[in-house]
Amino acid sequence: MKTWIVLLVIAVIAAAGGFALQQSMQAPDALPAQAALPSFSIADLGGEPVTPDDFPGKTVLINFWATWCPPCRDEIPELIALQDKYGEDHLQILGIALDDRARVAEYAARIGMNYPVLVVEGADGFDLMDAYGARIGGLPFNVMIHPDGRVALRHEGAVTGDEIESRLKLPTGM
Amino acid sequence: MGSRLFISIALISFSALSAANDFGADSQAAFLSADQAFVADVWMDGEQATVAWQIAPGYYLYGHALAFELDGATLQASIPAGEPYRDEHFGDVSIYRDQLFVALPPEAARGTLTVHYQGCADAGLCYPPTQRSFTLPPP
Repeated sequence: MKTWIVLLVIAVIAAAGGFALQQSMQAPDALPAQAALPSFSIADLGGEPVTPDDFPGKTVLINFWATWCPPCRDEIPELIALQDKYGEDHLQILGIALDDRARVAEYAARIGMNYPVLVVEGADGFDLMDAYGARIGGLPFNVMIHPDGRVALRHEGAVTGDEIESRLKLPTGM
Repeated sequence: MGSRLFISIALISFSALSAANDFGADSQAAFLSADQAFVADVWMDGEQATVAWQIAPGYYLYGHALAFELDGATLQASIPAGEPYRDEHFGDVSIYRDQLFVALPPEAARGTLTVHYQGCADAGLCYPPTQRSFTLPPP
């Protein structure tokens, strides 16, 4: 009987500790320090090289996608809306298309993508995804990096605009 | 008694920490790898080669992405009708769930067969176009 009471007390303490740890890890500020993230310099559709370091002070969302990927295309209107809403001061979305350049250019123009669209043809794009922590090798794959270099979101598969928005690092009151 | 108590504490603590570790930067459903979602195989019945896919529940292959080559030359295979699917980008296409069998033409009895395919998960993930090669007849 006494043993069970001890176990019960330990279980309550462990659960409370686990809950507290869970709460702290949900807050992007409290995410543990990340290993050095890969960087890249990839030409956008206009031929200008773009790197994540071009946007100091902003949260950068790297969205790996392709025109042959319906859930990727479903995300893009939400990404356009987020770039519109937060792009001026807080957020920079970079779309990295693992696809044929001409198809991507046609699609981006038709949909009105309002953030840089970078194209990587061949296996290099999937290698870059792996370097950012992709495990499955499927699309879409999103990585959000806060201005302090911490990864706030790493998501394989479709993600909602609400989830992206919830991970943004915004000044209090926004 | 002491060791049992220690094991219990360890298990409880591990469970609590595991639950906590489910949160953080990683947030995603568990997806199969492409090779787990679409298991491709080929077999011969006499001189007739058939390519088969076992497709995991919740996953599908696109009909328009299927292609077959023998020693680099395109093969015209007889692909069965699939499930009609309306895709905003691809238009009206066919998809395949559960399993798919494609009988190859008689000339595909010897050589290197390359099959091309691509599919997605209903939960919102697509795999890149994939190809696999088989030696015919299979060893």
